[in-house]
Amino acid sequence: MLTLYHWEPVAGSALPLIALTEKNLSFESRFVDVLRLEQLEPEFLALNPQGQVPVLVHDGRVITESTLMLEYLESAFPQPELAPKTADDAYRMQVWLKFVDEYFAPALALLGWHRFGAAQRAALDVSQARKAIARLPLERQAIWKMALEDSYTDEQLDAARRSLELRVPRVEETLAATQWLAGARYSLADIAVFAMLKPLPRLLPELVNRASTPRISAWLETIARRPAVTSVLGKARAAEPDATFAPGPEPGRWG
Amino acid sequence: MLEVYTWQPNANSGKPLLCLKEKGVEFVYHYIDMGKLEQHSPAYLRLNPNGTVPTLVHDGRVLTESTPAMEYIDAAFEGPPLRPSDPYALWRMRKWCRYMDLYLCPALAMIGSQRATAVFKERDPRELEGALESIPLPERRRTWSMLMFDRTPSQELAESNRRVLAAVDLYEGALAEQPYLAGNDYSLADINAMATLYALPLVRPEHISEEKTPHFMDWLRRCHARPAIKAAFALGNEWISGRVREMRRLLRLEA
Repeated sequence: MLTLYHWEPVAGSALPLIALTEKNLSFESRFVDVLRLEQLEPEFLALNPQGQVPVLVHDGRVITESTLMLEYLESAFPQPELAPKTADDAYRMQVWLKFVDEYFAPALALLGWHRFGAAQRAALDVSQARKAIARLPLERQAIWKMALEDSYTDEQLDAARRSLELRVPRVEETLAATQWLAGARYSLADIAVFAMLKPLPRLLPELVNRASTPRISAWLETIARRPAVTSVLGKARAAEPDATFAPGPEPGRWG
Repeated sequence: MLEVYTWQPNANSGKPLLCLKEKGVEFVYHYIDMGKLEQHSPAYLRLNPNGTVPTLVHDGRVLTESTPAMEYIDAAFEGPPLRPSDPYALWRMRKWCRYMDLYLCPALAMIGSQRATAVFKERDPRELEGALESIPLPERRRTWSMLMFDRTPSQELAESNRRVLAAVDLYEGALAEQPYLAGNDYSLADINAMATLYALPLVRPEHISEEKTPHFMDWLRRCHARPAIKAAFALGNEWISGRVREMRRLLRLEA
């Protein structure tokens, strides 16, 4: 039996939602309202002490980390295939999955929350939030403290923007060379990077737009039209999913 | 033909060396002297524009991300399998690799590299500024700048030290349950961890010992007893082979 604890079909939560749907797997969906800090409730922390969605429970086994969850689903449910067969293409797919964790996810969470999080911050009961955050590991507490206060430094915001400015062109170049990110077939790399880049035309329109990144724009549209992806995105509760962000993983500390 | 451009058998540089020795794969070792910043030289940047080590070249294909490259090696070459076939054990292997790559290794690298600041103090600051300009990745440039000019914030170093000690507890807990990080068998997770943690008890004797962390010590003993680990570290310089000898004595693997 599969149970997925997830938030809106954005960022990390979108990854397993899309993969499970692509693989036609039935699963129990448990919505965790991240902006109401439900992921910091003791019952959720018992599943994942990091207080992060998504979490997959498969026959009692707890699987965390959205990109690695995709690879788990691929090895546990190989059909239909969403990973390349050759070592070359599998390497390329894994590099993209690592890029999502190392660069895309932290930069987007930081910039997105800074830009669109004001209303969510205002809606939070701050003293309640501080109490809940104290249940997290120290480094996650530090991320939430900055997020609640929106106290990011210019250096952090610049570093996040530079990180995306450096990596988004690599997506465009790759799509000029091959139809999909890891070669000739749609794979987990496309699912994960799609979820990251989807809000960018709105968040950083100067970076992702039809003129300067035509291939990314077309690729985003092609993926959004896939029946599985359309179905997942259609279940969003938020009025504006592309402007829906939450504090995310920690940006790199030492190059 | 397989060529490996890398520094010493230490941290990321060591991962392909340990992995290839374990698989019994022949390779050509091109030594990149990080002390001379050869990884930022024009010749090396033509091979790997990121200026990071290691880089592997296999029949013309260039691999620059060390953890996905280890999976590539395991898939592309004969020899003992280094990834579990059970999906959950495979997920656990990848989770330990992510934990090392994105969380623990940066903390250890920040602490370990402080030894190098003394060397840079004797160099001409203008020459160092020039060296910084040849570093392509902004994240790496920031790191090297802190290192060269001894500007790593003390609270960041303290945080890294805290993380290392927390990590030791995590390893001790996991290794109390099973002999290797992914489960019953030696895997890429152990190789990834060994490349960085192989001599950790020498620098943290007050926290890591047969009394305080018996399971972590047993794991180190099992790993250091492997002929491939011994052969890989034998490729290192006098400082590294000296530390490995000291570890082997501490673990009572040699007199």
